[in-house]
Amino acid sequence: MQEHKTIQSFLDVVAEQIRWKRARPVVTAELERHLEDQRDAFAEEGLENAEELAVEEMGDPVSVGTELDRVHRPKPQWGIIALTITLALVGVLLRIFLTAGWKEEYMAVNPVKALVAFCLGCVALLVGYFLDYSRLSRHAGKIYIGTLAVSLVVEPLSPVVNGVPYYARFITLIFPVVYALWLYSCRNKGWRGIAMAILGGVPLALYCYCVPYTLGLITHLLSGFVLVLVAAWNDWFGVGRRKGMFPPLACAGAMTGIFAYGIMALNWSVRRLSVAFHPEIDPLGRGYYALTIREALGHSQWMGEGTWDTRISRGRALLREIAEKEGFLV
Amino acid sequence: MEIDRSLVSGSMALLVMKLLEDGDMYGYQMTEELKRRSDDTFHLKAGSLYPLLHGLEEKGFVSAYEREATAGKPRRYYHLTQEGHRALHEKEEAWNVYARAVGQVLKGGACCAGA
Repeated sequence: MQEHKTIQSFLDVVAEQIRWKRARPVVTAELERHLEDQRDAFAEEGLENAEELAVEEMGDPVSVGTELDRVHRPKPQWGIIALTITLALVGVLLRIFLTAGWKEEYMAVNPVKALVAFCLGCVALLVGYFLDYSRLSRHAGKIYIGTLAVSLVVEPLSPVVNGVPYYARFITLIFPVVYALWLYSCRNKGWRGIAMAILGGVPLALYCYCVPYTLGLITHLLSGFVLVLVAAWNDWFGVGRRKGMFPPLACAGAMTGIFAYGIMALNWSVRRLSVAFHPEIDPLGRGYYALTIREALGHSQWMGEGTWDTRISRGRALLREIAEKEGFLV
Repeated sequence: MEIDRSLVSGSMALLVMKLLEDGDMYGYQMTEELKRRSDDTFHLKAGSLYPLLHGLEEKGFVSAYEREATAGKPRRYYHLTQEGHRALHEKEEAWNVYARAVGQVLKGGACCAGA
């Protein structure tokens, strides 16, 4: 345990543990007065290291701060939560009602599935809002290893859809949270902490790469990079802000270079990118759906159904479907 | 003789509220007063006291306000609210029942308590 011998260092550590910033000044001012009283009392008794003894009397600053953090929580923002849930519900109901007449096609949204998804989403929102992440952070290592183990077990057992293990893709959605916890456990560990933080992202990235799930890989890499940078900016590792930011920046630069080289070196990647920006290059192949969306939107109106040929298959694109069938304003 | 901390921690809220029954106090004053009243037995660490006080404030049992103490420094004083008085009496009754029961067990049973 790190030694905290001065009043200020003790207060700094306590304040760090309290996540609600508005509570910090009130709490630290009160503790400071107490420490000063105790120090003065020891000094009157003739003790030389009065300040150090007063700090010792207080106990472990991390435990004190953690206890105070439990007491000082901002009040739940019920209005914002209710608004979020209402907006999500409106979205679900709109999707159900607007697509109700499209049953002969493939776009009609199943009301039961949509409402089940809505309820699960609400539960996830409330759990995410009220969950005490500090408790999770105490088991960061176990959660990290557990997630990797579950991911490795799920991958071979998943049914393969479009060449990808179906459930493995969903598991990668929790990687940013798991990685954030891992990062938290690397706090105050100096250069070793930075190395652990960067290396901790590698198995998760490799998993996304091997599944393969490019979107999951990009999400994990981008969110992980931002998290490490923010951690280094706040000097979580204790090596200084600038020094701490250098390794993740260097890694990100190297990875961007390798990624760009990979795209340029692989002919098919260049073709896919070209078609994404210019779908007319391959009108009956990869650019087909992009062109149909463009045409359908071109023939859409502000209100009411568009005028484009209804016999042409348009692929799955809900926003285009709504704009074309109901008008842009809907 | 050192007192087992687990024996003290459960009753700390009761002791702190009892101190405040006699008048408003600030944190340091409470630790000193507790030491004095317990013949130097209870050394309440500030690290335990403030989370406890803030928790009691959250429950509405105490309220806090700032006032300058004799030395001129502003202090955060704690005051026992009406709700706090009611909670204190309940806690005192519960403690008396508990203490009586423990005493009876230690003396060998209810039948022999008076013996």
